[in-house]
Amino acid sequence: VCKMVPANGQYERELHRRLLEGDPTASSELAYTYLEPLFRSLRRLYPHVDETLVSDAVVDALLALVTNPSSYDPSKSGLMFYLRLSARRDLQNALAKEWKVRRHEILTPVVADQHGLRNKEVDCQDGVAERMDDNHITSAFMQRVRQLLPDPRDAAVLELLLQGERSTRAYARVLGIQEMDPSEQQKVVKRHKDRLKKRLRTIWIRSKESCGGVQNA
Amino acid sequence: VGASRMHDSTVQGVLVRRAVQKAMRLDEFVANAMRIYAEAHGTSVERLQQLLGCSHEQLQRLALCRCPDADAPRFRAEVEQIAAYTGIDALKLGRFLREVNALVQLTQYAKHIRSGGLLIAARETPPDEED
Repeated sequence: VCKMVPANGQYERELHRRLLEGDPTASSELAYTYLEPLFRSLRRLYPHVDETLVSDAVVDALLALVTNPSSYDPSKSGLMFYLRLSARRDLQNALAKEWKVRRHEILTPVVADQHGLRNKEVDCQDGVAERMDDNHITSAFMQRVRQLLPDPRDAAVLELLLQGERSTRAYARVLGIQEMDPSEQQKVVKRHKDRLKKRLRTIWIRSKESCGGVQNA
Repeated sequence: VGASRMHDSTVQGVLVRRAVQKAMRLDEFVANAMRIYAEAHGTSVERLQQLLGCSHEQLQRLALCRCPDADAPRFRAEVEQIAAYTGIDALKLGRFLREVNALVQLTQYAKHIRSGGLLIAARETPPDEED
């Protein structure tokens, strides 16, 4: 079994040439050489993003190159650079979709609360969420959120909430309580999340007031 | 980098497994041939290890290779190249790939017959009241 080959310019060009020529083992060599470094590189850029999303982006970028090797032009960049760029683009697209869903999940109850709908069932697809999307209050709200959450831990928790992170461990990490007993961690994380959600509601009300009220659709 | 659900020693393993899963739906890869074989025989991909007499790691390396065309003149040379790369017996590998190729051709032939049969039936249907 071939050992992992260190990636360098000459090796990259040779591997790409083999992919173009349909060499049967080039794709496997490519995967074994680049998957892990690509994953680690992207993980450094997106430390709080779900690992599955990162690994999917990395794998998709690599398989896309195998199925269409002419998409890469070695005269323009290195192979690792190209794959990283491609994987990052895939990941950003995936995150944009996730962000849209999470934003609705988190902000819809806040908006619903403001509209007196708190005790009614609120569907993320209904008018409240859509109104929120199109309303300039949303951007004012997010701006206020950034200003009013000076504690970097709050900002980090909000970021995790928006990413849909559910593991207590991830929240414990950003709150710096990893060493705590797991059951205690759960309590602290829940308390922090609840407090943050309450603050978001308050910020939302103030944003609405500063914008002159929500336009009812 | 923060703590990771994937431990260092298994990052590569998780990524390769994911790549193999996705490659199973792409014609270019041997992984796709493995899926076709497993589905046709109602068996798991893991059983292929026994058939090919190889380890799990060898099977994964094989899965990510480009699938040689069994009808092409280069088939034998390519099988030998893959065998040298993965350490899998060339004879067993060649037999496996030829069997999958036969399975694919049979499936395509069956589809062709079905669609051809429909065409013949359509041709034999008398036109509606054309005088």
